Amino acid sequence: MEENKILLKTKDIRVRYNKVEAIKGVSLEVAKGSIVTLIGSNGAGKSTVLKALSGLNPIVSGEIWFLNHRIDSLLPQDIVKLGISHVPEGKRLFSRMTVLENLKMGAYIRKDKEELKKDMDEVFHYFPKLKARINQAAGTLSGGEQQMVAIGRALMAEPKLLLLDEPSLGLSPLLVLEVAKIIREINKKGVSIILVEQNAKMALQLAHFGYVLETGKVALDGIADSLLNNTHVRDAYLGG
Amino acid sequence: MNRKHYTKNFIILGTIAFLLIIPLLSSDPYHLQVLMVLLLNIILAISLWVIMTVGQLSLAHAAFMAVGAYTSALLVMKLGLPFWLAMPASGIMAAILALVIGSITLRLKGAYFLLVTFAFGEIVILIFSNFWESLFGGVSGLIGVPPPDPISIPFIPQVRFVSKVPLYYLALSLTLITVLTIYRLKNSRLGLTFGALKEGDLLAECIGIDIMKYKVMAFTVGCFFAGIAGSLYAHSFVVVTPIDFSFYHSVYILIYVVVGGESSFLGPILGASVLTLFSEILRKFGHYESIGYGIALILVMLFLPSGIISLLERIIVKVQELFKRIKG
Repeated sequence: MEENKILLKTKDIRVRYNKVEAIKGVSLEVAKGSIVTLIGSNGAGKSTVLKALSGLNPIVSGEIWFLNHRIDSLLPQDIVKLGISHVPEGKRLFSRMTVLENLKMGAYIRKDKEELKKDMDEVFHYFPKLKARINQAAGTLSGGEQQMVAIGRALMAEPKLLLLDEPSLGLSPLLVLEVAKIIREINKKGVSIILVEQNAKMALQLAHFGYVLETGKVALDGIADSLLNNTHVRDAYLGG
Repeated sequence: MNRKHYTKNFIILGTIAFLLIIPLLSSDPYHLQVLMVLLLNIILAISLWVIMTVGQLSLAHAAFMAVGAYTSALLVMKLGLPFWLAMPASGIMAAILALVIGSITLRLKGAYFLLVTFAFGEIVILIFSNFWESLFGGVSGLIGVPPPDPISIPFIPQVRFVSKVPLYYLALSLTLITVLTIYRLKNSRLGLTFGALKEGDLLAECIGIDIMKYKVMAFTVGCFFAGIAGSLYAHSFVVVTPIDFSFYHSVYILIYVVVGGESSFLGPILGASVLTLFSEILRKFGHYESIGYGIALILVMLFLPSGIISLLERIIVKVQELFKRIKG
């Protein structure tokens, strides 16, 4: 890849999680405007990579470059300001706050309050169903709706790069399709995305490029289509 | 929803009006004394609640109150400063101390921070009891703290704090100011940010909140009001001894918040009020006081796990239904 087309690059990063080395030297590249997926089984270190990128789990060694900034020693709030927005797995929402408050919290780091309205409208354009629930406590929404609020919240920070951790988790097959459609739509608007998924099939169909993580290392990488047809990937992650 | 708010506002305004006219109803100094303790406890409970809104607990709240009490008393007694300067100074002193302690220790999560506050509280009491005895007065503390200086307020005669009545009104004003300030804070953007911290550190970090900064801020604000309460205590009750601010007092403040209802703004206020009056009733029974207190606590925790406030809310709903039926 040419240097100026690269949005994010990691060089041989190592991360400890609970004192165990969870990431043992991972090098990734994300091209501007692309969707990159990290697939792998439970405990392969996918979420840990995302946490390293957003600064929640600092790296032990290696380098992370975002645009022209070296970001591996920055605090999470500074990384958000640069344009990386993380939707973590597990607790994704402030469940006692309303949908509207959650979206407002998403724009926490922004100073341009006039633009907020426009961006909020854009979020409702992606997720029209949320508009009716704007004053409802986020914790009372269904799983799919919560996922949508979480993605919407991340978009409110005007990210250049969106980190999505298991957006399909716990959703019905129909909702998975809907979320996939929205992810593609967001990407078309120019937001690059790193997608961590256990649902490898959905992830590889969406992504342009993929990395297969196994026990903290990149076992395989390539164009998403070629990974879909790779025998190892088929056997291990796509159910034969 | 609006009807509920009307009822709530009605109750709040009624309570304030009642508190305002109490000295006209009873001039018994004992009654006013109990009410002043109650008001102090409201300030302490609601300010501890601020710290709890970011998901932290503190067992040093009485110690910060002690810092305020000694600061204020010493500024007035040794340096001759007027009370009206010493009182804000005591709040600021407690806040500065909280800022320092908080900046160092709020990185600790959960029980660890709680243990640090416990240790800090003990250290403060130890220092006041055993060190610089000529200044702090040792175990017997400071005796003869003067009442607030007389002040002139337009349209009414000069206020001199010679009886319990003006002291009661001073306590009531400070309580209302504290409660109103914290209420405004709760409904501001800052309040929302505090709430975000309580709901999840990780998530708050994800959206770019400097969680350490806001935890320290909440701790500092909470301790500021504890310092103010200390000053009010010292100048209202003449004597300040270290034992007044022991670990048990901190636990009691925590209990006011939890029993009243931690999740609601009115909870700590209600908890402090009900439990202060309750312990006053139990006082007659001497040593059995704490047993009765303990049993009451267990009962509340068993039957009203979200605090006494939930009972009040249920009663309000019932009353409204009754009104509706009468009208209908």
